[in-house]
Amino acid sequence: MPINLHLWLVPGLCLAGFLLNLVFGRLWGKSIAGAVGVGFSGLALLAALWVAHRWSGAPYIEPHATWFLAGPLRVSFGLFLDPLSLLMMLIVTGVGFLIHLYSLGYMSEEGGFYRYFSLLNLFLFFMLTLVLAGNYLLLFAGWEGVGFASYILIGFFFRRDAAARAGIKAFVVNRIGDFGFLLGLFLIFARFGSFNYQTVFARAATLPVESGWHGPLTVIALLLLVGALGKSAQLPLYIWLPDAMEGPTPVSALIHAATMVTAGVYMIARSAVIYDHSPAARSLVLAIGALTAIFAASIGVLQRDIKRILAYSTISQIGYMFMACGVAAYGAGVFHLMTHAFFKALLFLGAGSVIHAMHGEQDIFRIRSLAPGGLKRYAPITFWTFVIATCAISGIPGFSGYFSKDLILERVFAATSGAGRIWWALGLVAAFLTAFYMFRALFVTFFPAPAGAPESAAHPTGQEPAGAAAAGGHGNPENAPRHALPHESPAVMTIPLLGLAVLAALGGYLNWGDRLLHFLAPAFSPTPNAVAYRPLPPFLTAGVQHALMALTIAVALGGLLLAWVLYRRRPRAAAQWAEAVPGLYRLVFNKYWVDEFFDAVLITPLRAISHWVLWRGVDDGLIAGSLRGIGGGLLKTSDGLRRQISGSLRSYAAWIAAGACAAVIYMGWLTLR
Amino acid sequence: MPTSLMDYLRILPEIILTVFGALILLVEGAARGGSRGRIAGALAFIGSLLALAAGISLIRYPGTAFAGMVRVDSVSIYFHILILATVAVVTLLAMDFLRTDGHPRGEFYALLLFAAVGMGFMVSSDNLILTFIGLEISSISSYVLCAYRRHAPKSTEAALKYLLLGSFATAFFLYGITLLYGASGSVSLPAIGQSLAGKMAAGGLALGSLIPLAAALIFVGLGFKVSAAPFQVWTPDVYEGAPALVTGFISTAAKAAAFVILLRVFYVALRGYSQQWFWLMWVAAILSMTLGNIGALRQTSLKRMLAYSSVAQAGYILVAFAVIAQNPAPRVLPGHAPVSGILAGPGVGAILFYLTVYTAMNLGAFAVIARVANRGERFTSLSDFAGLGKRHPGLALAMTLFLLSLLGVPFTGGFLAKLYIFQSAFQAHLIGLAIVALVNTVIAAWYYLRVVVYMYMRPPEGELPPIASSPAWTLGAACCAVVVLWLGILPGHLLHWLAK
Amino acid sequence: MLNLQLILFLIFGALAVAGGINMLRSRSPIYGALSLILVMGALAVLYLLLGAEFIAFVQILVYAGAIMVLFVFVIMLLNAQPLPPHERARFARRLGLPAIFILLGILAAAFALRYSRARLAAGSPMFHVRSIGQALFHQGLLPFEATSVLFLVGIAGAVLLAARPETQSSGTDTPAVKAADRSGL
Repeated sequence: MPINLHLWLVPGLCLAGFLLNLVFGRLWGKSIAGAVGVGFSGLALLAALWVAHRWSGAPYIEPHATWFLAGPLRVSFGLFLDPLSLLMMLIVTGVGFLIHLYSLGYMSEEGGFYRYFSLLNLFLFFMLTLVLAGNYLLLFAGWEGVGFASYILIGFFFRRDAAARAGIKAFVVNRIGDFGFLLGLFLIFARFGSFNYQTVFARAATLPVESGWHGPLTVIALLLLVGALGKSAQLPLYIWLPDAMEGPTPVSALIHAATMVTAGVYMIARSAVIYDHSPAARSLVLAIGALTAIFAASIGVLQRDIKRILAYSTISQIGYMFMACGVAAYGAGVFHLMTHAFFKALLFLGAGSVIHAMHGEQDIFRIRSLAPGGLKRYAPITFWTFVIATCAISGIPGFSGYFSKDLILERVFAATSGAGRIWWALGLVAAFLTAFYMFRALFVTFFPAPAGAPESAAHPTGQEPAGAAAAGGHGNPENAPRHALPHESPAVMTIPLLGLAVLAALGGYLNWGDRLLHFLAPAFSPTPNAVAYRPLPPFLTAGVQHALMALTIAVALGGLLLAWVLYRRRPRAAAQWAEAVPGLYRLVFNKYWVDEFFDAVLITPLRAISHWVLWRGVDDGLIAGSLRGIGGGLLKTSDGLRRQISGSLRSYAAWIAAGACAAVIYMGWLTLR
Repeated sequence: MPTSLMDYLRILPEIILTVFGALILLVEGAARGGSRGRIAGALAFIGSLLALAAGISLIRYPGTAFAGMVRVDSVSIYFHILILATVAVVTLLAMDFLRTDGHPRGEFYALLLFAAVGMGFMVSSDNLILTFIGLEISSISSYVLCAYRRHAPKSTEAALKYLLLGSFATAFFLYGITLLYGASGSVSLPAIGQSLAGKMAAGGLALGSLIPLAAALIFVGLGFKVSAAPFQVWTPDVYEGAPALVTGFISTAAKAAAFVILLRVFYVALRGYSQQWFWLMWVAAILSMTLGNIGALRQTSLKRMLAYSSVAQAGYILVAFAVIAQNPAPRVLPGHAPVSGILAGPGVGAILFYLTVYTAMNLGAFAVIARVANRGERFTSLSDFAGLGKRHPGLALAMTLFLLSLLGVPFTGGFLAKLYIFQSAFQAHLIGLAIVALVNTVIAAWYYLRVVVYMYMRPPEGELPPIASSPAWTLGAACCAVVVLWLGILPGHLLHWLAK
Repeated sequence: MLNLQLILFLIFGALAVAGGINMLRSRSPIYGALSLILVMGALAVLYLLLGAEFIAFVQILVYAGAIMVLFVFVIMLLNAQPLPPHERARFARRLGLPAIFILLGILAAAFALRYSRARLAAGSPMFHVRSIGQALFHQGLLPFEATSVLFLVGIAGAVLLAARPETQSSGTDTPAVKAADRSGL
């Protein structure tokens, strides 16, 4: 009998914080509401550490009340702890706590303080439910819950149409993903008769590895992938994430960078057994990951809004994690997930600090022009932590991101051959672009403008980017006077920055000697004894490994160098290059017109149907019909052509008669044939 | 055949409701002054609670009454409880609404109770004649209730449309009963079932048999009552015109009772023919879900939007009917069915669970609308809900809960209800139907969430009068909210009970 | 004998149908009501032909007699004018009418197939007053009693809808008319 870990305490504490603030928050002042919010997330972190301390290392199931029982369908609230969920739990509570702390300072001027903290706690509760769930259905519940919490948080504090639309967009796109996910879940149940991880994986492990695209496990894997694409903002369902940046910056840091968006990766890693049985599905994961990585990175190159740059870099980095999962290197993917959580949270919090310092300005070029002598003079802690994070994400050797990204590229290289190496090459190019645009952001934001730099960077078309223009000025609703000088953030904001900076700098060493991979390995294999830590293929000798490593380093430094040249040394060159290929520039600058494409293909027809057929037809018809009184005749709609549906009583009767006629024809055909 | 005390015991809820209904009418006539409405409300509440208690006590007296006219089995007990609880909650919700709007109150409660009498007969009837009379009692009460805001042209119009189209649909239903009687020589559901089973066993139906046509006609009549497409055309007008609370009542309790008839007629009497009527359910389910959800997308009146949404919800329930048709339960002769026999089939549990959740969440949503609409129901459009989160956080929170449940978000009853239905569809290999249903839930996200957006992310438009507090309303709405949450988080008890 | 029955059936059946169509077509309420009386009477004859004397008499007494007289009274009292000619609901005509005809056609076809050789069972004991009484007060006791609730609902509803809002009085003559109106539906 294993000791009782009281795993439920971890999400339970967050739920308690949520409820307390929800019920009493209005009565409390800001200080108590903040203390409760931060305190309970801190307690959750302590509980998580306590659990980690007492955990024996064997997979641990904590059964709780049956949630749902209907015929063969039995789902419990059971929680589950294994290396993977332990790591995720620590990431979520650790990063979550720091961001809570940071929010104390960042949101101090905002209204609805208690509501913000209660929702943030609610988000943590759902996220912990997601990672600690013992079955797919509870995972799905957490999955939906984080989506909802994020949707509310995006829209809550920003009474702007853009925020409201972004919230809905996020939710609807996620529903598309969830649709696939749910379908996958039903297939899992149909196939294995259970939602429980243990049962499903044990049964799946006995099935043969499938070839081709038609095997049941492949179909399940593909459907789960659809869900993961939505949640983790991968091609083609990534469109919601950049818009989600309308929310408060700590929310972006917590939800849209560190935790929620990586849930897709977690889910795929959790379903490792299923993906192991389907090379076809894995190859798709790899391709999507690589394409997303390069696609998003190339968009990031030309963005001007600091939060948008980070949003695209998030999408791109998650692409790496998908690539890792695509070559069955789940451990490497989760490793990158962890380091990414550290440095991306740091980047966002740093960006928040910058925005805070600049009184709401988000356009990096304007920040530069508004901070004479460079922002680094005014906000040194923010600057130095931002430097660390930028080095980490760019893969500068010694920083955390370097270890995980190098590992992923190495595994992708090892697992592919021939034409398959294209994915590896794409990953490498994306790494170059990442280093370039992140250092571009760093140089432009924090350094003074070099002599001879155009005031507003290169704009061959002369147009002001819509996103930057909209975001500039009201990113933070409380707008201090614009002429105030930039200032460093208060300690309550810089302490989390420093904490995360340590993690971002040193987090990579957790995997020293592949320790983390060994630790995680049991989570990816169903049977305790199987060796899931995959040995490297023989051609990957130490020499090749070192060559790859050198290549990664060279690419990262190359990106750094290019950014330095373009934005520090020869500021005119960037504009000249852009002028040389205006078409490409515009294409990339406008994010490949993907949003417009989606609008044209999906949203517009749906709206048109709803508008013209149902609204103009039925609805207008009805209102006009009732004005004329019952029995009033045909409605003359404005265009005079659409007279199918009048909204009058008689046409309703005609509908019913027609329906009855159809039913009777069908049944009559049965009896008279 | 002499009747015994037991016979009357088994219709005790109906007797209690009738007595109280008549009592309310008498008291209303005799009482003077301000006490009239209060006494009537209290009587209605007590009556519905007493009837509820009687309904619960039926658990100990399963069996038939009045020579097989009434069947007290788990389904009828279950729906008695559901319907009577709904009536009690509506009574609570209505108390202040009637007072502030200056409507005569006694008749409202009396009609409410009488409607429940009809629904009670609908759910426990094993005989098509009684079914029909129960249906008419509840329908005519509903027509009158729809016209309750007599000065509002929309309300009167809604009632008249409902009355005329309802009579039209009833004619189909009645004609179907006639044909069924002609084909099988009985109006008793088990007898029809046995006759049909015998015919099917002897090599199928004869050429020109009337049973398929009867099934089609009955389906038309009942499809109208549950507002399944293509018989849903009346729903938006009527739901919009009727007072919000009445809409809440007729879209939940009345619909649930009609679904029970659908279940009994098709599952008990026509079970032998399920492979054929399967397609009726299939087509109606897809049409209802799709038309309902697409129709709701652009609505600006919240009542109208929820009317379309309730069409869609009916579609989800019809999915479960298709499941039932696909998986006829192990043969238990209906005449000898054990008390819980009807529940044996897959899908039936899903229907019961869904209807329970649906009743709670839809009634709750309309209750909030009634509250926000304020005196004279002037504020029912989407823009009137703008900024509700600031003006009335409690109301906004309740509305959010009900909308999320209608959408099917986890930890609300709506999620598990949908899950249960989709799951049973998958088990019955109705993959196509399940996929259409899933796609529809994606579409539905748009319009449900739009309301949430308005409530929390838009500033209020114009000056809106304050909403008076109402303890009775709060209690009623809290009941709905508790049920929605309870069934979303710990549905174990109910599901266990359903499985029994 | 059978032939005579058939001829009578055809005559009165045609009358019933014609009366029904005329009722729908006429713009004047009074013509509509009179046509309805024709329908009721013709139906009574059909019942008689089927050997259901009791039902036939009840039909004449209650419908053609009591209810229709009330109808005509109300129409006269209200001095109802003929409806103005209204626009045709094109949609209803294009979709509704064909649908109704197809519906009737299929039902007729099914009947024709099924009952082509069946005979009309004249004078079945089922239709005797005694057996009707038996059915009504033994097997049908509950529906019979439930019907009283139905009427109560009708009356209460009529009181509610007809009462003037100021007085909210009950017990005038109007409700009874409305109740009858309802049961006529």
